[in-house]
Amino acid sequence: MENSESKDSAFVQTVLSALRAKLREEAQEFILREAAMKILKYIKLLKKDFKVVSGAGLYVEEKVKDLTIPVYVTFRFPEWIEIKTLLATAEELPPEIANQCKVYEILLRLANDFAELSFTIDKNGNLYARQNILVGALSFDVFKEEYEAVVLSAVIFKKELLSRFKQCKKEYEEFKEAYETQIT
Amino acid sequence: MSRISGFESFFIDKLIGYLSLMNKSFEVTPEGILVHETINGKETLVTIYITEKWIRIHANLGSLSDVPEDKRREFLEKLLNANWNYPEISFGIDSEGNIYSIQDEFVYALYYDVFEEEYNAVLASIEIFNEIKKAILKPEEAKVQEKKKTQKG
Repeated sequence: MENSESKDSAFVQTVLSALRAKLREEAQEFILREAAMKILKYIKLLKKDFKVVSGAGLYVEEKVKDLTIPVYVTFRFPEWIEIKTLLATAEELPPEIANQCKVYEILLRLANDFAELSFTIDKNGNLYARQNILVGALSFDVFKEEYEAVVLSAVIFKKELLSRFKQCKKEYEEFKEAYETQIT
Repeated sequence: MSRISGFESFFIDKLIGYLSLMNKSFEVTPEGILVHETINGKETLVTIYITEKWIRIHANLGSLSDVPEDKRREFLEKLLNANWNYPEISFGIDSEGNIYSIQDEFVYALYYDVFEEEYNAVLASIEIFNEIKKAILKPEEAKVQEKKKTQKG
């Protein structure tokens, strides 16, 4: 009898547990759908023309002066939104130049000195500017600030920094000044 | 980044409230809010200060001079890789070569859930940093040990 009661209880518990898992999944889907709707709204408010890309994201081709900046806004499940743009491929800025010209050190110093800057390198050695937003912190002001920070980083990097890195300039102050004159 | 005075009290009050909710031990100083943490038995100081548009949370993780010059590129590359592999993990270096784990929170986004998440990201990055440093220095340390053994022999 006792054994039967315990079996009954186990059955009820397993049903409830499956239900809770299902509800969690649905709640997460609801939250992410809301976040996706918000991003669409913000992108439209910012009057951006976008394309949908596979991998849960969208792509905006920013035209700034004579530059084209490809910006990706993607979900990084379960709770992050990532805004990023490619700054330089590993071919453009190879590891040997990075080593010889203190590229990584200069980038990390810039990241320390400017809140808007966050650099990252993928497993293939490609360099990106990236910002993350917690889904729970997604609001228009935050999105706009982070989006614009990524675009501005790319513009300054491509206009001011990349050529300096290629010339193997190592004076940090020169790099810092290039950013300071652009970021207010 | 320059630090600002004025308007700070609103944010400082919020931060004090949040840190209290998180049961943190902290002190408010002119340099910012200093939070005392113990990570793997080691005392670590997390500093929070306010700039024009951002609230910066950071922890000093050590000095670049602790890493042999021939290992630095690999070490710095690993730090930048970590930024890619983990959301919200971000490292920076100051003019004196101190390495920091950094989180910048936009002032419009200062509410508890976000603050807690970013604060914990700084703590998480301390572990990530230690792992990277260990992996980079390990072969070097092994060589030193080997050399010592040879000298003894």
